[in-house]
Amino acid sequence: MDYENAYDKIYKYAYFRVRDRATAEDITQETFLRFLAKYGTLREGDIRCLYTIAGNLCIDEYRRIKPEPLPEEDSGSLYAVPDSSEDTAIIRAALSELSPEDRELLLLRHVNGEAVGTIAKIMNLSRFAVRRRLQAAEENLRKRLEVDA
Amino acid sequence: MKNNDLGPLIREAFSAPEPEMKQSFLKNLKPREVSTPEVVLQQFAYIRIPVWLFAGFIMLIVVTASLFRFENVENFMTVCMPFAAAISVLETRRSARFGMSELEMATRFSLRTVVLARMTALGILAAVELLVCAPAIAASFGRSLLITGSRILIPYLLTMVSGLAVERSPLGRRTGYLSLVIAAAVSVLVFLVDNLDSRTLLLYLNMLKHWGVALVFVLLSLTVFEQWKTIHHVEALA
Repeated sequence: MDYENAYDKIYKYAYFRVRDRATAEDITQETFLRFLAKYGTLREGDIRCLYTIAGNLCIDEYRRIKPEPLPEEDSGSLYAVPDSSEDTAIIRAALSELSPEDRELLLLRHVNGEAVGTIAKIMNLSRFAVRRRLQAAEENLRKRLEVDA
Repeated sequence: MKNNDLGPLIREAFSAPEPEMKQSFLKNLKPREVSTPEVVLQQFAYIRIPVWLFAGFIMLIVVTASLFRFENVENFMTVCMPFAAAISVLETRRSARFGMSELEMATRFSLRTVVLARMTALGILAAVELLVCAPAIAASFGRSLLITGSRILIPYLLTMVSGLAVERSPLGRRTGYLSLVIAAAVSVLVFLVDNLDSRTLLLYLNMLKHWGVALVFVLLSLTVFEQWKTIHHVEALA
């Protein structure tokens, strides 16, 4: 498996959970180090394991910084990239209204391009449940976009 | 808005700042050294389920039949072993031929090392089959373990030697399944020896009594030689 491709996927996954570039990079690197210490090398299909390690590290990070809620204006900072177009800003606003699980599903499927079977294993769901929830999340997002439009 | 339209928008919305330390991290990333036994163990994970099922099926049938003292169990085992050998040959060739995902390991190990590890894993599987079945048959029917072992091993090794040699030939490379034909031929031969008439079988058993172990050693040496040749030419075969 391509290390660079895996790095990008895990970094994005971590970034959209911790909302901080440096922390996301730390988590990504820690994920790789832990994985390689245990399994030695990265092979096809190991991406699922990397997601699991990264997910657990993100949870550890939430626990560490738990007492500090995000300021109101920063709550959407995940999607607040300054040079974004109007369309992108609209879809980011719509995405921020979805549940974190739905956002994670959309990220894994549409951004990282993971197969439904892989997502099912990462999220501990059946393939059917993943398809159904993905469809519902897309439908939900589409409705919000139509309302915004 | 269709799903197809949503994809690019979602990808755009999830754009993250570029990671700053990626290249330096990946450059310094050194995968852990993997020992030779670990490489062999990893290869077990790549052996296909039908291979495990076939080995399990043979062991289950032979052990159960031995317990219930079914006379034909030894014949069954000797007829099945050529197919076990053919499956081993095909499994080795699968790695060399298709460059499957498991051969990604070849980025860290040479292709020869990976194929050698695969052969070792398959050899261990065959040895387990022999170590389970031969004593079960010998103990149930009060036969000599050496003769029973030789009787089981000879068709297996004969198929391995011929299969490995044939699979390297231009015809073998084109068809890919010639070792199964060889397995069927050896299987029929063994079946005929076992069932044609009692005199042939007695002659065969008598030969095994005196020369069985030597014959197994000769075939084993030839198998190792053929495997060495396959490994030596693996890049050309891939």
